[in-house]
Amino acid sequence: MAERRDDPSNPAHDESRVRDAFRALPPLEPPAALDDAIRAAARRAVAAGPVADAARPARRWAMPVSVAAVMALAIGVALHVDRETPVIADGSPVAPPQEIAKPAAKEAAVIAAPEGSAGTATREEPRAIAKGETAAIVARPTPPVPLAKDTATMAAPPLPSREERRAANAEPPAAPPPAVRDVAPPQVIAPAPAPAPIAPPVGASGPAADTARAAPFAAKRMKSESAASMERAVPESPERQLERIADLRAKGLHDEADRELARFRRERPDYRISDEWLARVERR
Amino acid sequence: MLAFAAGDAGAFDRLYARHRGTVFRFVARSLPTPADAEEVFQEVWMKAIEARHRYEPRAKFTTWLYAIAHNHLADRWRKKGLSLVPLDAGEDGPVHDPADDPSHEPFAQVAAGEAMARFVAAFEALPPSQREAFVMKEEAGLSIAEIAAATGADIEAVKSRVRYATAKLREALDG
Repeated sequence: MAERRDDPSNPAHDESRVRDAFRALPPLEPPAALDDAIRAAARRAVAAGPVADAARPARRWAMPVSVAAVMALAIGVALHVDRETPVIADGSPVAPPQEIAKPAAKEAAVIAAPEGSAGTATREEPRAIAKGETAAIVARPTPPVPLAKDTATMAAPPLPSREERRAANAEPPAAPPPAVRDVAPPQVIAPAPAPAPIAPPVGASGPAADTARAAPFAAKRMKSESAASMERAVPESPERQLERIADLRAKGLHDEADRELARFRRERPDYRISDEWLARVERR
Repeated sequence: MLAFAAGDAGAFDRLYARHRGTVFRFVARSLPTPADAEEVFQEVWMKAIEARHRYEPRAKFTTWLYAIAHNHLADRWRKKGLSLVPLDAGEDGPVHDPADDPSHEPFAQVAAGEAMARFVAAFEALPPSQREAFVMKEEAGLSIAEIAAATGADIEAVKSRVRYATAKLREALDG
């Protein structure tokens, strides 16, 4: 076999020569310092082994803990979003849900406790609000008459005094909120917890009628609050601002008009004031 | 390795004593400078220490260890801008020119005869994939299948690399 390997025509001979040449290369060895460092690292790893193993269960907890954290965060965000005041299509902000839900729950209690047939339609709204379904309420078209949300808001202010209620009774019964009855389809609802009504009914005919009587007062209050909050929430139109400046100018309050005009230009740099308006708002 | 993973530090010493020379030569003959070789050698063993719990005796320890070494070498080649000579380059891929590389110095110092000098030059000029396969076979004594397993290459490709490397080195010896 060795003789055959020595035969130059044999491929194994070539392979053997190459192998011999390769083995003749200098015998490289790692430095002793490197050996020591690696052995020391191995000993350290073995010594730290139990510690590392003890740390593993903590890692196993990482996933459930992170899932719990994400869920908590999501719930927090959802609650936060719920508390924010949504703005409905006509620009008037809706009362925060907790403000809606509490009085609405009271209202539902007042309505749902007895079997008054007149309040059937209005029952559904407080229930929806109490469930936090503000999004559904906001999405509804908003007729000029008070909506279900308004019904809920109506309950928020204190009930009218006895005299006011008497006055309301004296008025023709044209005040009930028709939109509420239009919006909510008749629906059988589960009986709500039945606490005592907030105030004893005056003029009798049941809690539903009482609610209907309270509606005009609450509606007035709601309208004024809504108007005020709308003013705060909805930015003034450019024409309205210019009109106001022109009024100031006409009244001779030139300094104030100048300030307002400057503010207008600062806030609306892209708005081109027509010549007609310029004649009215600029100081002559 | 299993004993070491179970906490026997002496087992690692025995493993290390058995493989340190071959692994170091494999790494040193695959990299341009001794400093690089020492660094990669240390990285390979550190990785083996760190991964001791993940070692499964499905393959030979040698194959597992050389797979680690192969990965670290591949990383090093990439970092050193030797991507022109990738591990998976074809057999006729670009060749590393030893004349541009001072690394041949250790070899040149020892290579006495002219044939040996040519051999060293040819060896350093081998594409990394061929050189790696050849060194794994000749230095570490791995079989073709083990080299294929360690490098993640096809068995036929490994055979081909070894054959090409051997042919080039023989030609260098013949002058």
